[in-house]
Amino acid sequence: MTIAVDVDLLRQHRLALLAEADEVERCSTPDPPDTGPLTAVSAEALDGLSQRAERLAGHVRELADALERWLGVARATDGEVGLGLDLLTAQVLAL
Amino acid sequence: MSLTAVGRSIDVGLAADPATCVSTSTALAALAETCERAALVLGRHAQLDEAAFGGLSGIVYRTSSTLLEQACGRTGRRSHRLAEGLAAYAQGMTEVRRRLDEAVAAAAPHLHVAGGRIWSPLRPAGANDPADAVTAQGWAAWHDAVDRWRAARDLEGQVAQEWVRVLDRPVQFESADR
Repeated sequence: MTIAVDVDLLRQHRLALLAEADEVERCSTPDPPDTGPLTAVSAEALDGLSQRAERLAGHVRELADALERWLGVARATDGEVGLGLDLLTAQVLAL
Repeated sequence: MSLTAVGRSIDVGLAADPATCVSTSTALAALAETCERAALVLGRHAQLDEAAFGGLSGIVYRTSSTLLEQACGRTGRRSHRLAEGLAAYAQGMTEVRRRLDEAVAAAAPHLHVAGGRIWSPLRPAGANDPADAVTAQGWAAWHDAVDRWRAARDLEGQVAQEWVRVLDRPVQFESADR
């Protein structure tokens, strides 16, 4: 059994994933607005969104890392049968 | 005692700061745009075909990319909604400020305005007193200012309610009279 892999393309994917993760993280924490008596609840909502965006950036980075690990193994085995079929972990699948 | 009675004052201060809302709205819009762009990238990755990345790993990768694309889309939409809501809130509060300033402008020539409040005048005593014309002007200006103030506070309440709707969180409002 052989698995088709475009290693260069997957490397580009990895770099793109890391760039997107960095950018999402960079934008993930807007300063809370002064909305008078609603300032606390506004900050709470924004904090929720920030946490969500940071988790998202983390997951994108995890996918890039998984891809990097997979490419490492693929390079070592160089097209041999049985490349790590399950190297992209269930954790990534569950994202 | 009604607000238009003697010995009262109205608060013409605005608690919210529209400028910070505009700034945060811009930042939220940037986050939304970033998430939407990331979703596009992930969506493209999810379409990687068997010739480029086959086998079970390819399937898992495509599935993971699709799930992340959807998560980026959801976060982007939430951020976009908050950005729009906050921009509308800022615009609404700017209009409230303008109306409160109108109330101050209407009152200022005739009434005591100090400490972010407009203070009520004396009630006119009688028709034949020479001072009555001046007092009557103050009394009319007071009522005009109170009307404008009420309209501004009503708008403030509507704008706040709309923002709460966007926030989608339970909020306990205090009673309206300030």
